[in-house]
Amino acid sequence: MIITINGQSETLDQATLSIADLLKIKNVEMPEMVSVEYNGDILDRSVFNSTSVKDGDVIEFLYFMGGGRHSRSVYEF
Amino acid sequence: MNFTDDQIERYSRHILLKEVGGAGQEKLLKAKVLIIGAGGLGAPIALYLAAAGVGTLGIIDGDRVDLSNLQRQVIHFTADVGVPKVESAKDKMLQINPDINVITYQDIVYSKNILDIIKDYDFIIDGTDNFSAKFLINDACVMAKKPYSHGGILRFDGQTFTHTPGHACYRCVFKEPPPKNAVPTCSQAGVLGAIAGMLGTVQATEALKYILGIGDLLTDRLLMFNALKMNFRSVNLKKNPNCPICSATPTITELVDGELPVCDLKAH
Amino acid sequence: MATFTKFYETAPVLLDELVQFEADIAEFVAGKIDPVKFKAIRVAHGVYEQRQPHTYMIRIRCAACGITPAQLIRCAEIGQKYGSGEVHFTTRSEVQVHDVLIENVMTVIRELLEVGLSTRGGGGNTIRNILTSPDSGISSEEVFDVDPYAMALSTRMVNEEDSWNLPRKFKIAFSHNAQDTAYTQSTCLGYLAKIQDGQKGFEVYCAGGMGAKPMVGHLLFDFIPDTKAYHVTRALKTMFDKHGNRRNRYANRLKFLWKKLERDEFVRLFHEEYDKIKDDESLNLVLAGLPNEAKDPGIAVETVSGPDFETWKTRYVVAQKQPGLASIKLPLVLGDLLSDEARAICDFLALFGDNTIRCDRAQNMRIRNIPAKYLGNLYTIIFGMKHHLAKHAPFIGNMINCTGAQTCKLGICLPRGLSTAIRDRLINSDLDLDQIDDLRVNMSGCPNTCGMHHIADVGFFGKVGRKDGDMYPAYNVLAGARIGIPGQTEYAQKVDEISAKDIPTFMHDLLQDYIPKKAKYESFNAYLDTEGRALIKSLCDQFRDVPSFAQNPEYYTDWGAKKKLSLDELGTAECSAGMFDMIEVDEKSIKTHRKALEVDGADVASELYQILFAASRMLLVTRGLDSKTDEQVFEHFGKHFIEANFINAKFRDVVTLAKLGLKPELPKYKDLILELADAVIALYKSMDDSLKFRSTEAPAAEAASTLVEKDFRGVACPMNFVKTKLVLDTLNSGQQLKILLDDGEPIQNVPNSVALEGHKVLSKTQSGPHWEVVIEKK
Ligand code: HEM
Ligand code: SF4
Ligand SMILES: [Zn+2]
Repeated sequence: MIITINGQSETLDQATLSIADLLKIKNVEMPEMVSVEYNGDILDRSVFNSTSVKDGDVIEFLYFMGGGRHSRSVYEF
Repeated sequence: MNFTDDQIERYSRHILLKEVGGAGQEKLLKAKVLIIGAGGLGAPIALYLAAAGVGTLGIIDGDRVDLSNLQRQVIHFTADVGVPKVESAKDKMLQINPDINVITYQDIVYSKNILDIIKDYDFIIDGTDNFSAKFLINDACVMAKKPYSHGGILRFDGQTFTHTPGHACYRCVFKEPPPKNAVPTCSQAGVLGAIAGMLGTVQATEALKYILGIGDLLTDRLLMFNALKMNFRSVNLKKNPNCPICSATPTITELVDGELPVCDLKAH
Repeated sequence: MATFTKFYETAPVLLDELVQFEADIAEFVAGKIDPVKFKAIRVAHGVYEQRQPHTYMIRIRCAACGITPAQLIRCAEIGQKYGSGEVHFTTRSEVQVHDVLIENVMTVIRELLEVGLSTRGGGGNTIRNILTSPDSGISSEEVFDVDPYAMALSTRMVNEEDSWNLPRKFKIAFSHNAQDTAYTQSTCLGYLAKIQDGQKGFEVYCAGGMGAKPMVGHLLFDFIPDTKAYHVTRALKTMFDKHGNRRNRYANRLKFLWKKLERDEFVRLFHEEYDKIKDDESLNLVLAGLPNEAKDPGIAVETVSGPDFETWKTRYVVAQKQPGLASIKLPLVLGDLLSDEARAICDFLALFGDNTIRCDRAQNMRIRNIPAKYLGNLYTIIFGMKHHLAKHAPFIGNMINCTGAQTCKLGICLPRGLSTAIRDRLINSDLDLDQIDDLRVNMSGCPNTCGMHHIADVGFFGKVGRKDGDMYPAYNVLAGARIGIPGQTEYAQKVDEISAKDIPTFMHDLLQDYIPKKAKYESFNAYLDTEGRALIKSLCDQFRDVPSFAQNPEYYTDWGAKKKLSLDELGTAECSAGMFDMIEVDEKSIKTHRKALEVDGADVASELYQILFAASRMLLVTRGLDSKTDEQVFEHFGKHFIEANFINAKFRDVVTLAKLGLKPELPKYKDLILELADAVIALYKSMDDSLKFRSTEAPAAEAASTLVEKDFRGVACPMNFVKTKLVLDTLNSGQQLKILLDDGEPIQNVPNSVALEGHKVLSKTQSGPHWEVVIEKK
């Protein structure tokens, strides 16, 4: 399926996957430091597992910024 | 408004702008903006707003200037090491523009003082570097119905948005502070100094636009940039109907203090 | 000799002021004066608040560094009765009493006055104590005695009203020879004794100063005859008063004015004042005699002998140029002379006259005019005292330290503790400290230079060190000041930094290297340049890695401190309070009462009265007006602001109402009163840095419908357009404006720009070399 992550279009091999899976395969090191905007709405952390990603979804990873530490730059879009 | 000759000359480049003019400059001179933090973000914000002739600038920070600040906090000079940051900042602001009134608070913001401090200001700018303060500023501004600019920088990245009453707030996006163990002490985080200038000037510009009532603010939009790629993007935000503070049925009804990382307290 | 009893005459005006000060203290205690305003008042009276709230230190003027035995006894008694039980000798060559509670401050000041001592100008934005070389008048190496000049100048300055409300403190010093022991290049105005063509006179330096941003003074005159010392001081003071920066308290000393104006303009403005008075001989100082001579009291001579006495004489006794007389240095522990020990020594000195004591800048006591045969008597008295350092090499007592965090609100570190720790380390070592009499080791608790670290051979000033988030006391290490070559003064430069706890060992190791090599170098600076600076760096390196708090908590508690370093009690500067703060108090008060007005059930009449009062008083201080009653505030405001056309005459009546105390009438004039408050604040904003008024043009509203004319000939692009826009702002839609513009760029640009903003350009007509343009506002 093809989805848009952080403004860039990406083709995924998986047929089904959850937001939690997506965070994993996108190598987000500290999911605690990310809010996920899913088709325009902020997702509650409690539904990361139960929300599945569909073809055409627009997803944004929004990071906490200021005072925290990430080992790499997060907005290398 | 009767400008003095010096003022006319000083502010001529503003007055020339159709969107500003004498009336706009007068608004700036009458405006009151509070800058929270006299550090990396606060430095360019304070310098530009002072230069712009924002008539009353409040600046709050509990720290003293440290040598390690000078890499990005361009309002402080080597000779200021050891001096309270707010005094050092005030000194430079008045050197740039003796026309303005600078009010200093050598303190940090916390639940008991913040509402009292922000109530006198038209616009508030968050230039802090820790999450407890960022959430506190958000909550206080939402409660007091004050517009404010949020800003955060790290390594090579920056992000900012502007909140005005009725629009998305920080908690609409980030419900609560990240767990403590995910946030190592700030002294371990690096940041490219000039990033602070890039983001701070955006925040200062938002404040000026707000006062002047011109252009489109960064409300309901998060502007993000990465300096390595030198890319800028903005993502649309929505007011979250379940937001714990700005929704119709808020779950947060009074301010609380988060735990501050040690190094935020006094040691910068 | 009979005529001399004092080093300066206190002024009659000071007595009047004290009555006011007493009232102010009472009001402050009663909570009726804002602490900031009170600070501005009290620091100028030499009264500083210590770190302990409501506890004060009181600074006592000692012109020419002198104090008489009777005066010093009085200070000691005061220290005993109301203070810490001692008299402190400061780096400003004056004395202080510490730990005085607010309720005793007035009593102390009055008791001092009874013996002719004044605290006025001890602090604040005033003419401070005027210093001299401590051995002036007795040294065989001097050009001439400068003490009489400092004394006469002090008396003159104390009597001049404008000495008490300058933009910032003003320090004056006189050195009697090129060794410059009064540091004339590190002060606002310095006079260095010199003889040219047989005429006594001075080389004059100005605009130097230490502090957090030190600057070396600049040569103002290569030579002035000694009769002109007053004229130069007067002119510089006037110039500073007129042009100094009163708004920015961090950049308002004379040194900053020099920096801002640069040499040519500074010197020009100085000469503007100097030329007006320089030939007026009636202004010459009247020098009083200050004989350095022996008075033999004819008491029994004590004969002392033995190696200890001889060592003491070699170290601390110097023969004066007056045959048979000796001067003696009494090194004090951290500058403190215990009250009960002061009595013994002062009683003895009184036998030899009033001119027997000086303070020096190393916080030690100097004794003079003692016939050599009585040295045994003096030795017995000194060694009968406990609290002094005369048994050690002079180096030990020459170390200087400020009071630091122990009493000072700005202090980060405790240099008194450090100084003690260094002393303990060194006197218990086998170093030959007698080799380094002249080595200056100075310490301050923070970047301000109260401990004079800038003029040290090795200097330290306190900073916070950090390790894993824990704070420990640390110091910056400076080295290499150059003093004593006229015109070539250099301040010590930062070399490195080090934790407080390692400094005693650092000092030991440095001296261990230096002392044996001293003979081979021309000066300590030469040693530094060749190897010393590198050694300092490598020593600091060696101590760089401070143990963590868990490994060794001692590193985190300063010398002499009881608990771990913390900055929680740091306060704001005491000594820079001034006009600016007082204005802010009223500005704040206007705001507060304005807000109170909006509350339901507010006492409108009384709030309005407070607003009117604060607005009227706010700027009086810029006119040097001091008002003792409310009525006087309104009176002064009416006269100096309304009648002088700074404030619109329409406010006259409401101010008169307030002056008459007709409070209940005020609510009728609410809007007018608020407008007045705005007008005063606007006036304040329009003042320049010296707090003088800029344009005093009354705001003339443009008549509503008539054609307005403005002449912008000679105004270049784009200012002509800027000004046009501003005039258009004041007009009503449809109203017309005629402007005159120059040919060329202006006529090509301005009408187009005006049209782009949406206004209508009705006509452009050339008339001679310029143009008339008529615009209709959109
Ligand atoms: C609470 C604030 C302050 C207090 C209580 C204070 C007190 C003192 C004292 C007691 C001395 C004499 C030192 C001694 O022998 O013990 C002194 C000297 C001095 N102070 Fe301060 N001080 C304060 C702040 C400052 C500040 C902010 C500056 C400069 C920016 C400053 C500059 C100096 C200088 C330069 C000297 C002596 C050296 C000279 O003769 O010029 N002080 N001060
Ligand atoms: S140097 Fe600093 S610590 Fe020492 S007295 Fe001056 S202000 Fe206080
Ligand atoms: Zn919200």
